[in-house]
Amino acid sequence: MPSDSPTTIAVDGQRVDLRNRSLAAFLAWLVPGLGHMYQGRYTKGCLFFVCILSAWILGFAVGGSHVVYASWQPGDKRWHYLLQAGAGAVAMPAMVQGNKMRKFTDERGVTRKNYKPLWGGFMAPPFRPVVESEADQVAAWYAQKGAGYEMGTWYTVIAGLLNILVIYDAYGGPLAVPISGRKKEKQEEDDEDEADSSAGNTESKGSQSS
Amino acid sequence: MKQILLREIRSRKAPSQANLREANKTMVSISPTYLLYYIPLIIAISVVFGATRHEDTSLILRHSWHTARWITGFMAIIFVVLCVLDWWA
Repeated sequence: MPSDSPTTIAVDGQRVDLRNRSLAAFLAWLVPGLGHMYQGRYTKGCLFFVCILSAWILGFAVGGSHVVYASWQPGDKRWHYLLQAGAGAVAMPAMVQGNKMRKFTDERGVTRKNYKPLWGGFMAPPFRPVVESEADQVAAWYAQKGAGYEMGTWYTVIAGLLNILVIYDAYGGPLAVPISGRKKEKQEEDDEDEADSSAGNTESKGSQSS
Repeated sequence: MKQILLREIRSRKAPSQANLREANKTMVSISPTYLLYYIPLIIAISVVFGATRHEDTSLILRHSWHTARWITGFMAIIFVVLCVLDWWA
């Protein structure tokens, strides 16, 4: 491992070469953990891959295939997708489905009759218009999955948010330890310094008296 | 039609205090199986939190454990406060 490379950092007594940071960050976004594997941080890469994709898959398991979809229409501004997209490539089918729906939506905001979603409707947005408090497709998903739809949405949102931390870690190395932890570390360092200095003083006094 | 609907709504009796209290109790007492949703979530969050702050595996695990305990304690306090409020109100 190159020790004096400008991209090398030292954390927890270990030297970490971040290599091409931008590429690592992009890979970390694309597949959770891939950026770390590119940097040779395999254990962390595996941890991120398993944790984030487990949350993602579990979200689909409890909420169905529509917990992630891209739509920004009156009555259906799916802001959750902005956070879910943090999980990377796994959220991209929703963009494809959303784009197809956009092409099949007329000027009045109504889905055309000849619209057929891709991949059996996986991550497809609901038929339009979506009107709050009316029996539209979103209401049907809620009715089918109950609290599961809500929980699935939150699982996938959290997976996306966690991956943002992972992207930062791939780009710049581990985040700072919280202030409380730093205070404790500083206190320990100060105690050690004090002990060293008092030992030094005792030695010097001893030598003066002799 | 609108007038008929309005008259019907106005003619309905307001729910009694006892019924409201019963409804509130139902809202607070959720199924314990819902709590199972929390387990994978807390594992994923605390491990990712730990791993984005350390490189050493033992430190990652220690930090994860600390985070999991902290979040669980915080949630437990909120739960107790809600239970007390529900019991008191």
